[in-house]
Amino acid sequence: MEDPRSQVSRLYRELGPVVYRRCLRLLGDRAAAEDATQEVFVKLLRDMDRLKDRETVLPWVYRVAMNHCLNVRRDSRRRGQDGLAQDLEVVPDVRADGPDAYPDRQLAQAVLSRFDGETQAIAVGVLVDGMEHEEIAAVLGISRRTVSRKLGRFLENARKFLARTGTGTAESDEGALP
Amino acid sequence: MTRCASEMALEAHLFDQGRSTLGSHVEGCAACRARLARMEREGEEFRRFVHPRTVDRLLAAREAPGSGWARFLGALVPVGGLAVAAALLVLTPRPPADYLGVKGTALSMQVWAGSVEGAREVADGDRVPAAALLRLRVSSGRPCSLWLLSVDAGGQVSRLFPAQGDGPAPVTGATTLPGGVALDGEAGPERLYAVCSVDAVPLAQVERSIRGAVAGDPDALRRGAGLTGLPDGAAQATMLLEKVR
Repeated sequence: MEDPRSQVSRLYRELGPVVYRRCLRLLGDRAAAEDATQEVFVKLLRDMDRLKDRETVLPWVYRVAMNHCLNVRRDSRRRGQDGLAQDLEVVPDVRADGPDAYPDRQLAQAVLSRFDGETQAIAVGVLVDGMEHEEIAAVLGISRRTVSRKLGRFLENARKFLARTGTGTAESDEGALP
Repeated sequence: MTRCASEMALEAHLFDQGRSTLGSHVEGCAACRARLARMEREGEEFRRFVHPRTVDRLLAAREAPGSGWARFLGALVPVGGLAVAAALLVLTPRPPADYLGVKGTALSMQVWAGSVEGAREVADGDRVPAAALLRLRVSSGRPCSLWLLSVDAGGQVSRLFPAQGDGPAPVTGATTLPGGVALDGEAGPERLYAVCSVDAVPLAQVERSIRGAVAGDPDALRRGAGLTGLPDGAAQATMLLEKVR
């Protein structure tokens, strides 16, 4: 029988890359991603049974990592720290209605921090990671309808905000959007 | 299928390729293949570098008594002086990417003190909680080999970075030092010294120099005399912390 330390080390080795990649993508900084990966894993280790369940573990790990790193981004921005990359790399999308479906996709990233955590996760999942609505709904444990509603509100408010500022860049956290 | 796979779908593909249904799409999708290749590189980076240097901390954090933050931070208890905890610090603020230190100096140091309430950048002579967790960044105008040590009021010199090995660590430009440092919880002054040189300086030489500059005298420690007895061209930076309970 595998001893607990070996088990943790093995799970960390096996699932750590998932967390590390997620954090690297969202934080854009290797040192920050390394720290965040450990922080996320400390959270994950609180539920070993879930961590060992290969059938369901991946969406859970993905969600915890995404929420954690979005919080790190939000806190960083609140504190006026610019060390973390503010632009998120967008997954290529070759759908016929692809990029044109979300003309503000790149600019919308600038206003991410103005939304609640779940909306941020939805926006990142769909607009940045290229997830289908069903996919992000499953990861977040919410309905597809909620995804559509929150994404619609995000895009609407992001466009309004960007039109208002005329810059496409959020300068502060004042006037956070719902 | 014309749409690129999502990050999540590619993760699932990497996690269990035997059950993945993405194979045929990936074969015909250059963008997805490129993303997979990058993800595999990053995974390898984690396995080769991040896992080995962090797994012990993770295990220690898990096995420490308590829970949550208390358990996590409990794993960082230092052993005398200002010990390297090689810790995972939740210091969300990060040094700006373009930070270059004090302009015109060969070496500069930036320090953040963190706690469960957050983190703040520390200035020379600032008061910090005696058990604060520190994150450090050094900036050097040229590639060099770095030692980072500290000395407390009792003259105890502690090696901070690199935490292990026989020699100093190479750094270039602005470098956030991996891991972190946990203060020892004792009130009083503590001075950090960074020494960076083109030719590696033996640790014992730096320790001697620090002892010579401070000599167990709290006033001398606070004045922060420059280090002597180092090779020509060795750059140095220092910062005083006043640890308070």
